[in-house]
Amino acid sequence: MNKEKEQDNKIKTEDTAPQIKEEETFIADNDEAINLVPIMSKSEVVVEKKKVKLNVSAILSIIAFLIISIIIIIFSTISKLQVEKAKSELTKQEQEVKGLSSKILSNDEILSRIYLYQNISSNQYSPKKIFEYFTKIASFDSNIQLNLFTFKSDTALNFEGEGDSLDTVARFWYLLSEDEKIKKVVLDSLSKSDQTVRFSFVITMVDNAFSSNNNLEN
Amino acid sequence: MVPKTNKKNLEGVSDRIKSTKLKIKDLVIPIVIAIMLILITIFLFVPMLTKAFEYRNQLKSIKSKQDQLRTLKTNVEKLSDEQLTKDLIEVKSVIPRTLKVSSFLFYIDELAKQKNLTADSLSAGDVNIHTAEEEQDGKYKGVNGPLAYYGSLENVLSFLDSFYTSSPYIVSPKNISLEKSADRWEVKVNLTGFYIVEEESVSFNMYKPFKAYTDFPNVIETLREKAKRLNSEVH
Repeated sequence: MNKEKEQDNKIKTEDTAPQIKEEETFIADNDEAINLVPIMSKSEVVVEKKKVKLNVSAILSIIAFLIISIIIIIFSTISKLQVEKAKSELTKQEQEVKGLSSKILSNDEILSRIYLYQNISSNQYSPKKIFEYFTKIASFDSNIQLNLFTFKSDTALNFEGEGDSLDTVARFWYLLSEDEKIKKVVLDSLSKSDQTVRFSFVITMVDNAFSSNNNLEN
Repeated sequence: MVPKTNKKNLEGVSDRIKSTKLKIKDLVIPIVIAIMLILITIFLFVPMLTKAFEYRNQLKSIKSKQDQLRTLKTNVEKLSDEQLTKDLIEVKSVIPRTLKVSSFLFYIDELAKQKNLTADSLSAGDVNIHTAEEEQDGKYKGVNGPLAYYGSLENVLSFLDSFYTSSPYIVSPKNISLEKSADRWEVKVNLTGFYIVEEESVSFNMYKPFKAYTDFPNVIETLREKAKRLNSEVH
């Protein structure tokens, strides 16, 4: 009888064992004890892992956020403090410089006079040199006489004169137009009488041809 | 047949599976926190950072101002107080605040006499003229008057050549004309003397670029010589 019962139990256990395997292997322990804290299934483990990951990443983001916040606050505070310190130093420096204001203003007054002097002296030229230059050009023919010079600037002048013939005046005109220091020659007027030919030229010279910046300093 | 204990286990497990499933309510708190963080970032951190960068720029500008003031102070301190005052008085005597044609006409007339020229007409008058410089900053002014002398060509040319150096004031001839009549030459000129109008209330700007007047030693030397001449003739 006992043997038969044992055989029945074996058969039962053999019958139930594959059923458990088929459903979930964790339903019962092998020792047939009651499991109050059941073992988690694979899907449960995955879900739990997801939750843990979510929590960890949330904590990490909060920590990172806190660190960033602290860095920004420190950066901003330090910058503000630096600015305030620099401002107070600048105010001190400004006060010191204000004490030198009369000296600076005196320097400015002298400078403005220096600039005026430089400006005036840069526009100076030697009328004597210009006069002698044109007289020399006119000396190719002793019949050419220059009578009136008007100096407008270091590059502009006009002059009047007379010659014995149109041919002489034409040659003089040609020489003027070929001169390297003369930019433009305009025969302003020409009149012929019995013995003389009167002429007037408007001359534009090249820049700095006769400028003498050192005139004032000499 | 499933044993009783196993059945209970199965029910417990089933409940547990249900309760451990990731539900929407599990995500509410992280989402709310994320939104809060984003809002804090936008409304707190961005303005804070912007302000911080503004402070940095401000600091940079203050530092550059400090450097400028430091350089200015060093350069100004290099100038000797005594020499500066002396130079200012001398330079102001050469280029005064006001000028009359009579002030510089004397020197031109003296020069003409030295060159044996005869005064043809001296219709000098204090006429304010406008120069290009004046138009720019309104500081430079000049008075002019027409003069005429005659003499030999050599003397007239020599007179013209010594023109600039003859006056201790800053003068400039305009519209010079040289005309031959019989055996003599006549020179006509519009003489302009320059002066500087001083502002009544001078504004002091310490951040204006500074240049020491001692950087122009040649000009200063010339002006000193002119002042010396002016003072010796006055005394």
